This record gives sequence, structure tokens and C-alpha cells, in this order.
Amino acid sequence: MTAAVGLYQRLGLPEPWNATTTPTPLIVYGGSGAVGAFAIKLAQASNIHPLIVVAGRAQSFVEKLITPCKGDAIVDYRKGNEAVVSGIKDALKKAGVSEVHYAFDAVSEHNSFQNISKVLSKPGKITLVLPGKNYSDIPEYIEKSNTMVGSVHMDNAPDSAKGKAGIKTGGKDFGFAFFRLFSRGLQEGWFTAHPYEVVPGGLAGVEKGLSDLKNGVNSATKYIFKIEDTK
Amino acid sequence: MKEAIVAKGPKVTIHDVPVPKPNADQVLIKVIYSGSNPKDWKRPQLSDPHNSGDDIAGVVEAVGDNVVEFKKGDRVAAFHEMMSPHGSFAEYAIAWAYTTFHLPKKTTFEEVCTCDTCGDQNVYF
Repeated sequence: MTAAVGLYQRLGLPEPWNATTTPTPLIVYGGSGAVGAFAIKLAQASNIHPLIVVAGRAQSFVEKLITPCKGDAIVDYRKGNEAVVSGIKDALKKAGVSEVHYAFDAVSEHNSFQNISKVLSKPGKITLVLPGKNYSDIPEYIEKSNTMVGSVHMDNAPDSAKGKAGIKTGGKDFGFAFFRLFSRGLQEGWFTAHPYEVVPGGLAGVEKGLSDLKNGVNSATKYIFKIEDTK
Repeated sequence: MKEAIVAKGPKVTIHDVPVPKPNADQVLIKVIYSGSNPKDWKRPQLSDPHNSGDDIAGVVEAVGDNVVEFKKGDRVAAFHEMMSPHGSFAEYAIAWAYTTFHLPKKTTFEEVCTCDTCGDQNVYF
């Protein structure tokens, strides 16, 4: 759902029921994490291509999510910032497009948005996943937004433009609609789960699972807990 | 029922607590699998200890008066409202009906609990 909020509510890209046939380059920075991987799957459903996916350890996983014949490509962030910037430019050139206007930064640290800022063209849009960070390195001509999945439980703030206009619909309605689309996407097969690992012990395993998340042990997997296994 | 409370660290303790009751627009779900997200350990660093799990996969146990879409026994997944009580690290959890959805027959509880919030990394400083 974080991926859906970012792509559709924040970047304003076409939803799967209104998929585009116009080339719409999109950078997905951090493609192997759950947010990035789901962003790729949803973008595929919307026929958003070329997808320029920045990833690290789990490239073989990302390869299975993208469509190279539509210009999609993977750029390795482990080769350094300059290599990321030139890698994105090369991938765009190979895909036959000259500019990219959209970026989903599912990392939002380790120089991710600075690298993105070097390749986004005017008018550019970037959405970021870590709130409260200093994003002042992003130039003015790029419209930036925060993607917070909690927005699907929130009403429009009274002091926001929508709130002032008396608009009652928003995040909750988006959540309602998209969760039902997930149900259909799972049935139809275009929406698939993220790889997972069951942490032993049920609730007794939560501390280990969360500690491993904290320590970055996982790559391209989600930790889940089977509650019944709690002793 | 058993509920896991996550404190700074992360340090997790398991407590025996009453099964919660859904309000008119909510669903009570028997949790089969809970997912996890980075925010599940990050939020408790900055706030009071709480049941920080938000990704629920399970079976509907009870529904509120306004809920027509779900009934007891339905296989569902749901996104629990972050920071509110009765999260997914427990035997029963509460979700709003509008962030609950049905599972196709072929979809397992294991796989679907990876999808709900999709790796949300939010943390408030």
C-alpha cells in the first residue's frame, strides 16, 4: 500500500485501471525492498515504462520483476554515486528516452535523492519514504512529497488546501479502493507476494525478527510470524 | 489472549490481555500470520511501548454493526491503523473494514501478510 500511495497519490501516475501507452520513465530507487518491489509490480500493471531500478544485493530478484524489452533496467548502487548517476542516464538512453520526470525514492538516504536530483528533468516529481529528514538538497524545480502509508487512515487536514475546500474524500477512500484491487490482483495473478521468511516462535520471535530488521540482516525478504506457534 | 508489546531496543514482552471488541466500522481478526516492517522497531524507539505490528492475515472473528462486507470465518488480510491499540502482534487484532480485504482461495495467509503496508519505513523524529 505504501507503493500505491507513492505512485498514484503522490506522483500522480496512471492507475492500473487507466494504464498508459505513452512511455513514462520512472526511477525506482531501492527496488528489492518491499516498497520498491511492490512499486515495480504496480507500475507494471499501469504499464509505466521504462522502469529504471536502482538496487544492490538482490539484483537477481529485481530482474524477475522488470521487463527489459520495454526498456526496464537495473542500476547497481554499490558502485558509487557517480556510477549510479551515469548508469541511470545510460539506461534512459538505451530505452530511447531523453528525460525522466518521476522518481520513487524507496530508500531516501545514503545519497539516494541527491543522485536522483542529478537526473530528473523539469518538471520533476520525487516522492520519499522517510519523513522528517532534511531534503533541502533537492532543487526547487523538483516537486517533493512524503509517502506515508498512514495516510490511508487519515482525513484531509482542516488547514490543507483540500480541507479548506471542504473536500471529505481522500486517503481513506484511496485505501478502500486499492485494498480491494489487491484482492483482485492476487486472484488475477499480476499482484504477488513479497518473498518471506517465517521467524520461529510466533510472538516470542518478534524480538529477534525486529532486531534482525534493525541490523539489516534481511535483503529482499519480509519477516513474518505464525501466531499459533507462540508458546 | 496473548499480545506482544514492543519497547525501545527492540525489547519485546508478551502479555495476557482481554480480546478486544471492534467498534461499528471495524473488524476483529484472529491473526494467523503477522507481517513486520522497519517501523515496527523504529516507532517504539520514540514512543511508549506498544503492539507495533500492522500487517494482519487471518480469519474474521467478529464485525461491527456497520460492516456488511465481512462476516465471521472470512479469510482476510488487513492493515491495522498505525499507533492505535490492538495491532497484529497478538492472537486477535482490530482493523477498519475499509483497510481489510478478502483473500482469493489460492492466496495463503503467509504470502499475503507481506503485502498490506508493503515495507513501510516511516519513522517520526
